[in-house]
Amino acid sequence: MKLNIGEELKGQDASTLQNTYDLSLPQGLFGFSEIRTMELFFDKEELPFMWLREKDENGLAFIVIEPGGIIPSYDLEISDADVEILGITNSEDTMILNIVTLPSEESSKISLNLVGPVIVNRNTLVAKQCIINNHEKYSARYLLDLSEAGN
Amino acid sequence: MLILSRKIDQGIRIGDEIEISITKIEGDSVKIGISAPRSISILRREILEEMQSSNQAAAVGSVPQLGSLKSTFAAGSALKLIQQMRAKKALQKESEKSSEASSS
Repeated sequence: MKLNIGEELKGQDASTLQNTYDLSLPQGLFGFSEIRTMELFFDKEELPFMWLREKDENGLAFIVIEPGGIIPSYDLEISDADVEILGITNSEDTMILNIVTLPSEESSKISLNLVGPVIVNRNTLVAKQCIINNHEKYSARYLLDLSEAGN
Repeated sequence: MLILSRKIDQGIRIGDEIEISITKIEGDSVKIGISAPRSISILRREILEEMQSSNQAAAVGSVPQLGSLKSTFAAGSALKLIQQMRAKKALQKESEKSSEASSS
């Protein structure tokens, strides 16, 4: 199934300061297969960055963004197996989240994983990290160039 | 692990629905054909390993409840990052608008 990246998360409008969505991940994340539930949290002050994190105080957390408006021409296709697990019937049912790696000692740039986005069924809040069918077109460490956007 | 020897054009059947055949052997590389139902995911192992290491690098560990991005690294750079990201989004939106306008 082809997914489009046009739409943004509902509830992300100006009047909402913070919001939390409880997601269920039947297969966890790659390398963290024991995880079953996480929350997607955003604070208006931090958008477009959001948090995908375990509820547990010492749990795991990731920073994620929706690719709309950030990755031009990101057209992703997910497998029938993933469509079935997610229970999605069309592109509008879905939310796409790309995991962000913050600048570190090795790299001063932030990078996005475009190969393995976390796809969320907006209606049921079932989520899965999917390796997209057309992964050869994209990088798992896509460096985001923010220099043009003013310093 | 079960290890079988196969020659070119020979195959292996797994369960009722999966068949693997050796289609070509060239030096140290082997071409393998796989027929399986579309609901079964087939991936090169490297890509799975890449996803695991990418997730491990991206994991931020335990997070305080609020102001979380600012507390993960220096407050000044978090703010700057957020601003740069928003500026990038705004630029992108503008260029999409102007390309729509020119194409219509």
